[in-house]
Amino acid sequence: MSKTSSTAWQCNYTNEIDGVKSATTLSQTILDILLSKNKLAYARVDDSLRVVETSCNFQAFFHRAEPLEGTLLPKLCEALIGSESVLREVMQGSLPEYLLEYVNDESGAEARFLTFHVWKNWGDEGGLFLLVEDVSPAARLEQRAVQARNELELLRRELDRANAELHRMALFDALTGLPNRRYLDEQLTRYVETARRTGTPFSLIMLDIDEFKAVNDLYGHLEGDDALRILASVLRTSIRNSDFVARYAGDEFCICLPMTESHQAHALAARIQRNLAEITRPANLRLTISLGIFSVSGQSPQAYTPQALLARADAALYRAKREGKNRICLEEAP
Amino acid sequence: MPPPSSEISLTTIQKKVCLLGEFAVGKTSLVRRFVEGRFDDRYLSTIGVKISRKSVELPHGRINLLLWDLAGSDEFNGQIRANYLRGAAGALIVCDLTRPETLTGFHRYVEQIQTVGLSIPVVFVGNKVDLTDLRAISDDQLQAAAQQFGGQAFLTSAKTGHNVEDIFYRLAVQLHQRD
Repeated sequence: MSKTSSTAWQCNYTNEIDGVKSATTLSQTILDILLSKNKLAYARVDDSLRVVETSCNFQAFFHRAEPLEGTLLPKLCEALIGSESVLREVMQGSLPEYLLEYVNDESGAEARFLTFHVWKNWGDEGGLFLLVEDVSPAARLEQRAVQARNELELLRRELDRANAELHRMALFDALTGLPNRRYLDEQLTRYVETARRTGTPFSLIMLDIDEFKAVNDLYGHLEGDDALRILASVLRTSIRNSDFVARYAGDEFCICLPMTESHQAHALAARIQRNLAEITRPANLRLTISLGIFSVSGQSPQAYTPQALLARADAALYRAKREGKNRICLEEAP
Repeated sequence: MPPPSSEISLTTIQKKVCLLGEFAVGKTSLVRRFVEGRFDDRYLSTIGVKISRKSVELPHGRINLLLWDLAGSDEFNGQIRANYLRGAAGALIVCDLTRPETLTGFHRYVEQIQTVGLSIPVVFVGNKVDLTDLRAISDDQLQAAAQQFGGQAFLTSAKTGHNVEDIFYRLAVQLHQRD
């Protein structure tokens, strides 16, 4: 930088003895500008928290007509009401500074943001110094940034919710609320793999409503939908936590029973029949189901793919239909 | 004769009440509904603090509430929020009933109050109860969260005004009783 580039710099560089004085003059000039533009205001407060000395713009800064000397500091503006104990802490030196950032101020014609600093006056007079800055430009910039960030965050959460809903719709049947065929395929593969790895038995139940077409034809599709919902509810409440029930297609449902021998699967199938009868009896509704079970012992799960298991359970269901419906047929792997 | 509400005497009992909660839970809307009796659907993030006042008539006198609506964003955590909280006589901690994560933030705000050495009445609020289809926090979950801190929770809607007067009134009664 050239020593002769400006008068001010020339003054600082050429008069080293008066360097401090020059800096003080510059500081005073800048302070005068800040005060005249109401960018800041300051006051000195005595031990009783009364204003004893203020910057020349203090009244104008706070949009007040009356002189403010003698006013209690907490009564100067709303931000300081109730702050007596904090101000005392600062005065005692136990709190180095009381700083209130970005206080929204709507007392004047134009809304602004103020930052309050309160420091202990370490001089002989005691008391406190109050400095108030108008930080509106920086605050408005920050407000826009925070607004954008928050809106983005809300949108992201909205997107997460929508994705979760899409995921749910992709894997669950809208009518019954049960997992759908796609979800069943995924889960069945996992169950079969686990049974194969651990050498544990596995059972699969396929079931459907007897004469479901007649229900639809006789009572209408809305009644048919109700029948599906009733059955889904019975299935949901009849199985164990470790089991998995899904709507396979139309009125067909499928239940995966990990670590379950054939006789246990049969007992569950019978329980489902009983529970369904109990639920439908009060409504005088005759709703029966046929069930086909295919069970694989712990010794032979490796011989069956998910598709093969489904085919064998379906064959058992078909046999139950053929033998008169409203019954349970069991097939066991050798 | 009591002074008109627009010229509240400085000798009236004045109490600072802070509103805390995650961003966009409706703190500013609750204050606006309570103080101005209106609602604005647009979301405008609060930065720093907005101070409003409203006088509440109680059976045994009047109390002037200074409502400190604090920014919910993370930028205003730590020492900044600690300074806002200093001198508070009561607090409302607000969650958005459609956003479960705003309920789990309750403990953070209780801790912030405790950190500045305050032992003050706190009312817990589940806002946006009008958005029934989007509701993600049940009554039981809200009450359980409030009871964890020995408080009571209330359902509000800044949009419809449901329970808004009530929560501020309840807090005002507690503040008056402690005086």
